[in-house]
Amino acid sequence: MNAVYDTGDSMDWAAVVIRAADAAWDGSRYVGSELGPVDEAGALALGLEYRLIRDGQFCAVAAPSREAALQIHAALGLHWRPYTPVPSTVSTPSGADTTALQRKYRWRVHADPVSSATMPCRAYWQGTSLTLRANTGRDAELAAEAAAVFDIPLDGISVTGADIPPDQSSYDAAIDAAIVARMLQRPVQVWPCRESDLDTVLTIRHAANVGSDGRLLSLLTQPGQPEVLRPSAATICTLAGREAVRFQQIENERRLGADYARSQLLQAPLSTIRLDSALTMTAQRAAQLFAQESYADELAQEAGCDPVQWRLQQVQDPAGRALLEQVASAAGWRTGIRGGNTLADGSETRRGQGFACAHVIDESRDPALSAWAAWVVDVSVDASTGSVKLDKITVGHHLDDLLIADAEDSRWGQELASAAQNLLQAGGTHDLWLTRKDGDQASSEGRLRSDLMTAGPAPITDTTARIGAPAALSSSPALGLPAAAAVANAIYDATGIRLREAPFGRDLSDEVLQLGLDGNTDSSSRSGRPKSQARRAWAWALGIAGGLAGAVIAAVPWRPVMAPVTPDLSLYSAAAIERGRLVAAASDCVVCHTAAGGEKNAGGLAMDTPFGTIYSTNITSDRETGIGAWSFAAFDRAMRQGISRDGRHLYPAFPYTSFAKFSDGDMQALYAYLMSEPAVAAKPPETKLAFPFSMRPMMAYWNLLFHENEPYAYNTEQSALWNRGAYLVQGPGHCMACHSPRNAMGAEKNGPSDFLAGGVVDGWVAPALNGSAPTTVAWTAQDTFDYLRTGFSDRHGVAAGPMAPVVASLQALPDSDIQAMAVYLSSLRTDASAQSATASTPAAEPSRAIMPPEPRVLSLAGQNVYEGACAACHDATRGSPMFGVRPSLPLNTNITADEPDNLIRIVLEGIAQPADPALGYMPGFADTLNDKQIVELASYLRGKYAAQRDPWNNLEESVQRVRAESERHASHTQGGRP
Amino acid sequence: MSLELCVNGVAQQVDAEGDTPLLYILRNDLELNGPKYGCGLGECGACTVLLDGMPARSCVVPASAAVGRKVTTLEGLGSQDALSVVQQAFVDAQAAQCGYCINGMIMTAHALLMRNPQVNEDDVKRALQYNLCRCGTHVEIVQAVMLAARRLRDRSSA
Repeated sequence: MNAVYDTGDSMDWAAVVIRAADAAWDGSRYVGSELGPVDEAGALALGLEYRLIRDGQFCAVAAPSREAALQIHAALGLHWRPYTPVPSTVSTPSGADTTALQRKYRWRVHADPVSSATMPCRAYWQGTSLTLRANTGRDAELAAEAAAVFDIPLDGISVTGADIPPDQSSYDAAIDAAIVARMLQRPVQVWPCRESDLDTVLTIRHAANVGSDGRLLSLLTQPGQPEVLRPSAATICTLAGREAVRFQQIENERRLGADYARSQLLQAPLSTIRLDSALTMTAQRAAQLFAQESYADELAQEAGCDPVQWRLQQVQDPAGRALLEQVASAAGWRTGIRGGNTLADGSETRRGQGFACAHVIDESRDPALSAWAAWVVDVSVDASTGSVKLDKITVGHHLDDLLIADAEDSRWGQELASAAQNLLQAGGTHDLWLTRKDGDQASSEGRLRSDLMTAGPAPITDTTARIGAPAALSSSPALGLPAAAAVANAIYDATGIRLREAPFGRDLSDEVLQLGLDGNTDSSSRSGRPKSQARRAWAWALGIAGGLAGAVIAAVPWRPVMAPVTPDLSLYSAAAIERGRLVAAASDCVVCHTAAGGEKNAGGLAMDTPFGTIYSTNITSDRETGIGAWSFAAFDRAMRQGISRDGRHLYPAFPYTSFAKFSDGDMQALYAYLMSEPAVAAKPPETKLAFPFSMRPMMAYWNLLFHENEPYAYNTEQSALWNRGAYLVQGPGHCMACHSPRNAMGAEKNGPSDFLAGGVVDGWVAPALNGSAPTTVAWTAQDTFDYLRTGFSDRHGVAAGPMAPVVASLQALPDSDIQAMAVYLSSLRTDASAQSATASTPAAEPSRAIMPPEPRVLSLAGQNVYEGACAACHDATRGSPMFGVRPSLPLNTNITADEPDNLIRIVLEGIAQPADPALGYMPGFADTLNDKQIVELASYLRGKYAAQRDPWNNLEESVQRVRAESERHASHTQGGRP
Repeated sequence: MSLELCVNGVAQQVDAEGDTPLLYILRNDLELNGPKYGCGLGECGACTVLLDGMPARSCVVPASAAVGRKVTTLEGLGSQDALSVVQQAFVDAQAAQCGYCINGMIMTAHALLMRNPQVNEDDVKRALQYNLCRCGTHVEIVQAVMLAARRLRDRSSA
């Protein structure tokens, strides 16, 4: 019986791969910091089973579970030998004396640092046959690369995928898993590591040799980076000197672009692709085509020639010529020289038409497949706002050897239109709300919908010009490529502004707005910033003057009662009410405005503040006890200025300081939603604070001093996603209400380093979100996304206490909104964590200071409590996985925190109301562990898992204090939220 | 309040508060006494049931969490006449002394082997680490799980 299980088959292990943050590939070899000796002392001290695997620059930690592997990874001391890049000499294209019209184009690949789909890649060896499970969308390439890397026959490799969207990083993870699995001789899982938060910018230079007669002799192209698909990161890291570049030609055999004159591809200057960049072949091609087709328009302009005519002069392929002519005629092409023709026009709206085409020859097929696509885009630009509207898109398409298929299929038309619209992610869309759909998590829908979300007025699509439309347009490599150039050319035609960076979101609104300003049209949207500064200065002046004069009450502006009304709900559409529901969810209204066991939004929740207990109010549509008699104006005043309908000042426990950031549309929608909800007659207890805080009119001074009543101002320096995240965090989400420190007057401090620098609420420590909170591993955007979406990050812990209902409330929002918040919050961290010595990501810092854990005597009594009470659920390597998640204590932020309060509180109270039942529950130990046992436990956990941090002082006092706090809170709320 | 549960494949309606521990409902309302009350804090494992196939300590899981999930108790693994492979192996290996922990041992082992019957002794010991047994029949318990694993593998290869 013993021999049976000894087959080498065994449970899966998990591996975490360690790579330098600056790891890159220069087209043939690894470039980046090199890993020196690894100090395993800290990892060994954990007493967990693991293996460290190294081969060249490839390094991985494998352990029986992912939690254990992450723990060990965090405990390793890594020495990096920093890499100094050779300064690249950027040479301009040359080759002839008559080089003319040098132009540089840029294509920004937005980092997509968070993804809702997380699924490990799994590798499993049986002898020399390899089974890989990975969603790469590139199964054949993956198998080919594995065959080459491991020198095994291709037919011994099987690749399977699951039903989630393919993923670039899965490709790397698959080979990682295969390498580790081979070393360990057991199945291994590796979780795909998301790309970095940094955008990648591709730069492409063009120049042309033009004959003396103005004819194009040759076209020079110089891409800024290697023009090949890189092999997997593991392959690059393990290559280290071995024969290289045999994988790189896989997609390279395809030629791209319309054959203008003699195209000449110049070598890229010395440059590299970062291994964690989101760069894909698709992006590279899009960039290349955008550059070439924009350049073609510029050459045509230079030659004084119509852009379509100019292209027809160059293109020889009869199929291509036919397509170009047909599309131009179908689109109603206005023949003539482009650009500037409508500049002098005084009208607000300027129209333009742009043309672009693509020709792709796929030589990997036999015979080589030739595909043509041509686009004409009609735009109108509103000169006063800078907004660009796509009026019409005409797309023609030709594929060799394909029959005419169903031309009525409107789906492709829609998709192409939204792809084009997506290029115009210009400013001002931070208050667009989308409903969360079923299966949003772990699906591609989030991304698809985010394409559609910025599509303003639906563009008209006209695809009648299809020639030989193939059965599956998506399989055509050429179809969507001309979009960016066609849009850029159309905008040039309309405005005379040549956009050389795409997608256009970042600079479009600025540049086009500039146009609007020059045209002396309304510029109110530009003056937001100075106005708010002026107002702030004025507020301070008045506040001080008021204080000096001593005539406090007299100086208080009188606030009128607003007349009760009966709201007319017929004014609001179902869509507005639905939008309001989402605004309410993002704003967590129900969390504070519902008492334990009480009716939704009927108020009465007690909030302990340093100034006394404040009870939330009834915000249902009841006329007597709720806000049913409030007009929109009264509601708007309350939300933005903190003044109730009856003219009384509200206390800023109601975060009107954040809600003032609402857009008008959101405010209307929220009002509509609340008024459409059922009325509940319930009179919550009255808030009675001690003097002087009982003097509500005093709040007028508070507001003058601390409240800035300004809606959110769109930051054009940042992406649409970032702005959406900033709006959600600062406005509806009112994260600062808990996570920013408050001053003695209960106002959020507004120093430069105070923003989201951590606070205290209801006795819970709300950790800093700006990167200054000590953690074992630094928060990434992906971590933040996981935490906000699911209530749990396996690298940090679980949402509990007052954060659990916040996560539960956010469930109503789509993935794209959670991504936006994650991206915005990450951007705050990058600055602060650079200064913070305690926060460190091993993989994100080329050189990491090693702090050998000092030998510390651990509490045996504490260990006993841990083994008995905690380990069954929290031990990462032993015990069965159980229902719910298994938060790793070594990585838990509450154990590395400055104060032990949250740890003690959670041990006492447990988690009876998780953000999501699927996270599982934790029993409270208030009645079974005494103060001494909790002190021992806390001291043991701190010493064992946060050895890099100082021990907590005065644990006895802390436990007593937190226990008293917890009991007091329990008596207030009688058992948690509803 | 009324809760809709699905226990061992049967829809059940029980009248209880949502925060009642699932164990109480299983034992007191549904008369399923396979799961045992041990420590009441999720430490010993005697109360283990499966929620959607994952082991769960039913003394610390509120009944509301079981709504919409499949609950499987010891009674749901097999019947008196046809025991499940793991149950039969525990009988054959004479793994029970007092038997109080055996519910948790069987449920946890069952979940382990359903995920992967290719286990070695270390894997079994690791998985059962936090199921406490006061009598000290650990050796027999591990043997029983290995026996069940072998039978499952034989069955699937046959």
